[in-house]
Amino acid sequence: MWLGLNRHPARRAAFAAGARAVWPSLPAMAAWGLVTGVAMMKLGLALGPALGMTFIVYSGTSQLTVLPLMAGSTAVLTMVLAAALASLRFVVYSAVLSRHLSRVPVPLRLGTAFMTIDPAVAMLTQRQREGRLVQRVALLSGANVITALAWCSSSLLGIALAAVLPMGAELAYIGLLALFAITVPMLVDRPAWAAAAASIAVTLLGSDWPHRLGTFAAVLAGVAAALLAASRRPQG
Amino acid sequence: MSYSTLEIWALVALLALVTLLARGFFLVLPRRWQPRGRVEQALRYAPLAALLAITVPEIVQQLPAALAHPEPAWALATDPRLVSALVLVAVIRLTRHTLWGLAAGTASYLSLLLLAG
Repeated sequence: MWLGLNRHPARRAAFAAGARAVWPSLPAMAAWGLVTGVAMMKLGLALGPALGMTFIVYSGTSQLTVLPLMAGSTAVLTMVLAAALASLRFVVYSAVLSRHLSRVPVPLRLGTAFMTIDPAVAMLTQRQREGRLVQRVALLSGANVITALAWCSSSLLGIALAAVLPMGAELAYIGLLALFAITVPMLVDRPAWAAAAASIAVTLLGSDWPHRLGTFAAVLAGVAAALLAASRRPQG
Repeated sequence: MSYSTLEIWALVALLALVTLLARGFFLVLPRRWQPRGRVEQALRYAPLAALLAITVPEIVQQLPAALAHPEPAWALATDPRLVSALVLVAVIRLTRHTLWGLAAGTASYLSLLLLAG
């Protein structure tokens, strides 16, 4: 395999650990994949582009950003810009990954980063806090492969069943609850509580800012609050 | 929706590029521009901040309406979004299992929706 999992027992163990660690986030991936798959077909996207969105774009954030804009026949470049602004939190995630992947060859580094979304970044940072980070590419890949399987298969299910599924706001909210659920175990120390409080305050202030810029500002505020809270107590 | 096949596939290709550029941004910068030290430590909390920033506005969406209700206490106690999120947090804290919390939260969300008719 591309990581040489069969020749390296430690990598294989890390891959399995990564896959196991993102298990609690699979309901969120499945619900959002389903919602996104149904939304693409209800909008009238042909099968080819819907599959292209699922497998090539591989970003629920971008997909759900452009879908309402496509309904209004927005210009392509405007939609790309809107998706880029909505994707700014991934730039912060790339900063999280940069230290872990800086010695990895560029193609594998970019391939891994392309696939790494919220649950895998959360898994990596929790492991880092617990101080047992080995075989990071294998660890991330384990999380990424399972996440991608859940996302893509549920998107395909949504695409296939769009005609018969009476999908509304309820499933989207359950998907949201599932995302919220994975934050609860992350509230473990003072910087975490500070980050949570700052993020919630800023996201509520900026909830009607365009292009999800309120979300991005909230991420920056959360990281800044964690930085402050950690510097007050060295071991934080 | 009125796009040619070419426009649709151009959109797919450009969005894929957005995904790659956003998720790979810091990974292709020179190493001295990559965060280190205390900033790098604080960045651990970015996923927590991001997930809360995405979810909390949806959870409290009905809060202003509930507070404006003639009986705000009743409206708050039967707000499906708010109550299901609180149940979820309580169950995860008690059981230490994310999935139990999600099951309890989903169940309370659906039953409050049914109750509201």
